[in-house]
Amino acid sequence: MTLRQFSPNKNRRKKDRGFALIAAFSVLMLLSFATGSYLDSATQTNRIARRQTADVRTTGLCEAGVQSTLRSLWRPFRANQSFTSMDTACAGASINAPKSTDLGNIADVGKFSSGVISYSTPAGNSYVRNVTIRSVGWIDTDNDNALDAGEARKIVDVQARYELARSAVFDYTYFVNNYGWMSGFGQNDLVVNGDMRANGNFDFTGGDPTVNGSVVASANDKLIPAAAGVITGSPFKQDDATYRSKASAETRPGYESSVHGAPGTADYDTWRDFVFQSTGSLTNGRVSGAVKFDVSGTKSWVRTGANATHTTLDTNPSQELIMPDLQNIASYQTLSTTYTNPKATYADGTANPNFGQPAYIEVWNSTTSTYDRITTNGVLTGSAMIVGTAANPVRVHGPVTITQDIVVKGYVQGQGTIYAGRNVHVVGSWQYKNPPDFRGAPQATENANEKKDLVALCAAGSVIMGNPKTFSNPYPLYYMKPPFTKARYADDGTLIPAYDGTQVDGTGRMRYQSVFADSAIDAIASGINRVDGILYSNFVGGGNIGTAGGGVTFNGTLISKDEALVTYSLPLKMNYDNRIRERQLTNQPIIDIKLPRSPVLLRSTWQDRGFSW
Amino acid sequence: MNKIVIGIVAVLAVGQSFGAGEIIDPKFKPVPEVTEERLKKDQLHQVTMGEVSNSKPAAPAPVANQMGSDRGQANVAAASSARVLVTATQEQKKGTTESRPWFSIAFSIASFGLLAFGAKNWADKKIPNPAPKRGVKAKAKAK
Repeated sequence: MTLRQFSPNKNRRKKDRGFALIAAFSVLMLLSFATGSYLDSATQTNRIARRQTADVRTTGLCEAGVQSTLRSLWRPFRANQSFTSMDTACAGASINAPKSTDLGNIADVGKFSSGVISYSTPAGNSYVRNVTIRSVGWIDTDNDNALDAGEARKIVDVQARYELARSAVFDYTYFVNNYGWMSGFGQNDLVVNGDMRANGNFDFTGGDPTVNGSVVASANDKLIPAAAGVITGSPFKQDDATYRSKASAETRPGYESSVHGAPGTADYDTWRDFVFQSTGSLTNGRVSGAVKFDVSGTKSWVRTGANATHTTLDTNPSQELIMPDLQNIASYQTLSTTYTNPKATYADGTANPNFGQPAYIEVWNSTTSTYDRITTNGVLTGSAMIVGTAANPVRVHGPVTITQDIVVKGYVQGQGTIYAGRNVHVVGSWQYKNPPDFRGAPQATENANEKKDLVALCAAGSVIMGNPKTFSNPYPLYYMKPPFTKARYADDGTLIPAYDGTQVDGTGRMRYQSVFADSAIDAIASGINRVDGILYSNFVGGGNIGTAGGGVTFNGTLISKDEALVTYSLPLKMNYDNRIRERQLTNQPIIDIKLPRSPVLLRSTWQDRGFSW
Repeated sequence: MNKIVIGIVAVLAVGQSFGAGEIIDPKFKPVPEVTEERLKKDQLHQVTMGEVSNSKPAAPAPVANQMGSDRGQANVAAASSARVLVTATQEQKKGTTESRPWFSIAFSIASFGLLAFGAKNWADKKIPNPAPKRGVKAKAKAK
C-alpha cells in the first residue's frame, strides 16, 4: 500500500511547474518580441527610406499628371481662344465622374492618372473657368494600369484658373507676332512715342530712328526660322527734357519728378506706366522707364549722339506674348449683342450719358439729315462702307461686330470697338472728332480724356490701309505674300501656311481686297495722313500710307501678325494712347472698349491629399 | 536722292528678311488731304450689304502633325485613368490603407498579459486567502 501523505506543497509544486512553463513561454515570447523589436528597429531606417522614396516618386508622378491635364486643356484653349472645347470636355466633372482624364507612364518611376474633378464659371464672369484637377501617382507593381491594394500611391489636387484676360499686347504702340524691324529710317524719319514689341527678333537696320519707349524682342521657336529673341541696333532716344519740349497733345506725357513723383513713391507707382521716362531702372522690383528687353535681359540705353551706351538691369529673358485670336468671330457677336454700357459715372463723378446703352454704329444720312443705326443689337451681318465728316462723324458705341468687311474713312466719335469678320479697310485718314490731349496735370488730364473718343478696329482677317485699286507688286503686294511672309507653327504643332494676300478666299475676292468692288472703294479713297485708334489684325496690317504727302501719324496702337506697311512720305510718327492700359489700382483701363482678350493660365493651389502604401 | 537710296536699300533688306517693316516708295505722287466738302461727298457713297457667299476669313489650313496618338488607345487610357481616380478617392474615404501597427498591438497585449499573470502570482503569495476552498480542507480532515 502506498501511503499518500498529504503534502500542502504538492499543489504548490504543480503550480510551480505550470508557472515554469508559462514563464518559459513568456520569456520566449519576450525574447521573440525583443528580437522582433530589434529587427524592426534595425530595418526601420531602410523602410523609412523606401517609404520616402516612394513618396517622392509618387509626388513627381502626381505633378506629371497635373501638368498633363493642364496642358491638355491649355493647348486647344490657347489655339482657339475660346472655352468651347474646355466646356465640352469638362462639363459635369465631379469626384466620382472625373472628366478629361489622362493616364500616363513614366518609365522606371511609375504611373499617373489625372483628370478634372470640378469645373465652374464664376458668377458674372464668362471670361473665367475654375478647374480642380485630381492627380493620382502610383507605383504600378503589377503593371496592370489599375490601382491595386498595397501599391504606393499619392493623391494631389490642384486648382487652376483659365482666363481670357486683357492682353498685354495693347501695352505697345507697335506689336508684331513675327520678326520686327524698322529699316531705312533716320532719326527724324520715324519717331515712336511708345513701346514696341516683337514675338521674334527686332532689328533696326539701314538707319537709326527715334524710339521714345521700350523695345522688346522675344525668342520664338514657332517662327520659321526660329527667332533667338535679340534686338539689333540702337535707336535714338530723347532725354526727358527734350521729349517734354517736343511733346504734343497726342504724345504720352514726359516724366517729371515734381509732377509724377520721385522713384519709389506712391505717386511714381501710379503714373510710371503711363509716362515716358528716358532712363530705365529697377524701381520697387519692377522695370520702369524705356529699356531694351530681349533674351539677354533688360538693359537701359542712352542714345542721343553717335553711339549708344547700355546698362544691364536684369538678366531674366523676355517671353513671347500671346496675341488674341479673332478667328471665332461668333463670340464677339455675342459680346456685341449682350453689351450694355456699365459705367454709370466717370472718374470725376459726372454721369455717363451712355450708361446702359447697347452697342451700335450710327452714320449720317445726308438725304434725311439724320443718323441711321446700321447695326441691329450691335451686329451687322454683312459689310459696311462708312464715312464721317467733322460735322457729322461716324458714331460708335461699345463692341460692334460686322461679320465681313468694314471700310472706314473720315471722322469718328464715341468709345467702342468694331470687330470685322473679314477685313478692315482704312481708305483715308481716320480720326477722332474729340481726340484726347495728354498735356496737363495727370489726374485732371485722365479725367478729361476719359470722356474723349477711343475706337478700335479689329479684323479677323487683315487691316488694309490705302486704296486697293492702286495696289501692285511690289508696293505693297510683295510684302503680303510669300516669300516675304513666312509660315509658322501653331501651339499644337500644326503648320500655319504663310499669309498670301493675293489668294482668293470664299468671297471670290483676294484676301487683301474688300468684298466691295475696287471701284466702289476707289470712289471714296484718299491719302492717309492720320489714323487714330487701335488697329488689330489677325493676319496682316499693311498697305500704302502717307500717300497724301507730309508723312503719317498713328495715334494709338498697331498690332498684327505680319506687317506690310509701305510709307509714301515721311515722317512716320506713332503715338501710344495710354487710355487702354490697365491702371494698377483697378486693374482696368480708364476706358474699357472690350478689346480682344488673350488666354491666360493661373495655377492657384496645390493640395497634397495623402500618401499611402 | 537720299530717300531713293534709302528706299532701294530698304527694299533689298526687306527681300532678304523674314519680318515686316516700313519702306519708302520713291515714285509716289501725293494725293491731297481731303477736305470737309470731299468727305460730305464721300458720305453719299456709304452703303451696307449682306454677306458675300458664306465665307469667313480663310483659316490657316491645318497640317497633320505627328503629335496625335491613336484615338482608341487614348480612350482606353482615359477609362483606366478615370477608374484609378475614383478608386483612389474611394479608398481614401474609407481610410488609409497604410499597414496597421499589428506588432505593437500584439506586444502590448502580451505585455499586459504577462504583467497580469505576475500580479496574480504575487497576490497568491502575499495575500492570504480569506475563504480557502472547502473541498481541500474536508479531504485533509478525513485523512
